[in-house]
Amino acid sequence: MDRLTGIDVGEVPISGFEWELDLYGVDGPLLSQYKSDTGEKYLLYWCDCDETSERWMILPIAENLRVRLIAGLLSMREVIDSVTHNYVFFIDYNSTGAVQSVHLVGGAAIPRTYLPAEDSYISVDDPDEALGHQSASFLFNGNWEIEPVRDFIRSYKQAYNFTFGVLKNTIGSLSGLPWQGGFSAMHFYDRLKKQMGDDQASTQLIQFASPGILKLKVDDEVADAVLTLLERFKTNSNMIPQAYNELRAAIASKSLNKIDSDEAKRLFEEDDELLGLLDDLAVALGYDTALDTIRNGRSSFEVSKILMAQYVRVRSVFVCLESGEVTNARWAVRLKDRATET
Amino acid sequence: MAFKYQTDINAVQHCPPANVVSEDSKAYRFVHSPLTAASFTPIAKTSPSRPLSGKSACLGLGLSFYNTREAAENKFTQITKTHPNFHKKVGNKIASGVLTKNQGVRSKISTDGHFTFFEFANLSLEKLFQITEIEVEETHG
Repeated sequence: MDRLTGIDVGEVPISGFEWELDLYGVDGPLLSQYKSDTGEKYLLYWCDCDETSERWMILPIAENLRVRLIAGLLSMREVIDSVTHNYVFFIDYNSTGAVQSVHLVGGAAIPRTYLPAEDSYISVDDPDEALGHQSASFLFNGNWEIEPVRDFIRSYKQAYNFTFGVLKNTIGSLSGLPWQGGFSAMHFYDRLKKQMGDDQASTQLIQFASPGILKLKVDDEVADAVLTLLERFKTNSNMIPQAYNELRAAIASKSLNKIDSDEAKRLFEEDDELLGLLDDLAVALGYDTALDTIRNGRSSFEVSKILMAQYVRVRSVFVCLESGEVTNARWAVRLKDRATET
Repeated sequence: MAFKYQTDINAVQHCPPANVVSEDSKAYRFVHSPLTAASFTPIAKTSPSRPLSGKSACLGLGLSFYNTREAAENKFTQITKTHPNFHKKVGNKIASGVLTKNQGVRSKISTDGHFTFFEFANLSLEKLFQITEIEVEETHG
């Protein structure tokens, strides 16, 4: 094994240094995640072995970089390079599995033979476990102002809350909105939010520094359904906007937004073209099987307005993801897996 | 049928995992040359080795295989980019053979072709596998 230039400190001087999970391996782990008693994360990275010992590098890792590594946005080399101005530990285990030595080594003195290739992107065994259950991570690429970040968070949370309402069948109790003018969508989502209480997606971590990260506490089933909806936008990039635009244009051409609310509902219900366009949008968004849940005594006009409002929010999130300005860690892993399969 | 490392397996909860299957399959494994019993010794019984935790405590009592040679070669190339000394740990040759349901049980095959095989007692897999002519390429960082 390579000779290390550093100080043998005898033991790992990190209070409460404790194994959390193994990220991947072949015949045993090659990259593991540890934490300290103050919650700081560390990677244990397999480097080398000989007949009598096995060597691992311990390097601190910020949550932002950890999520980017797992999502395949950063290579292992970039993560190691990020600590070259700092220090790492090398821990050697002997033939009985006991700690033989712990060396403190400056980042710049890491042996070159231990450095991964530039394109050393990793593939973890269990991305859901690695990214954390009940957690959605969004990575903000480039420089972001506070206002657009706030808009993105609002759009995602509203899309999430509606999906929660559909999956948990809690949309029904929200009724009686006229759905004319811009205020009704806002009120609808506000009422959804109030109704959800502690079930709302809540912020666990937000870091504005470039590159930024947002972590939300979510229900896995709901967050997964939102991702599936976003995937529909990717695979039906023409059909969904077309269904939305045609319904919106038909409602506008028949001036339903400008007449009495009850009259608008009555006219919509009697118009086969509008009813057909509503069905088309529901199918495009994948809500056709959930229409009864969403309808729940509502008029077709109101259901149209709800689906159109949801379209606007999901599209807003989708545009940020598709442009690369924002990355959802789970979505990035899904796309990578899909690319591997094909 | 008892597993080769039954005593160790008994000491680990939910081991082998509930989703293992009993099926014949082609199998490819990284090895050092020449093949010996050590070529088919699981990491938990190998020295030196860091102590294992969590799922690895069980999976470490099984052996890593790939279902195709291509999958094994791809994985070797990918891992070597991240861990340039990987060949020191697992060898730089591929052994191929067929694992049957009479020899053990295996985990579900993952998208990269990997599975973990839990071997039954009284087997010597080194006698049932052959080193292929092709050496996987070492790619240093």
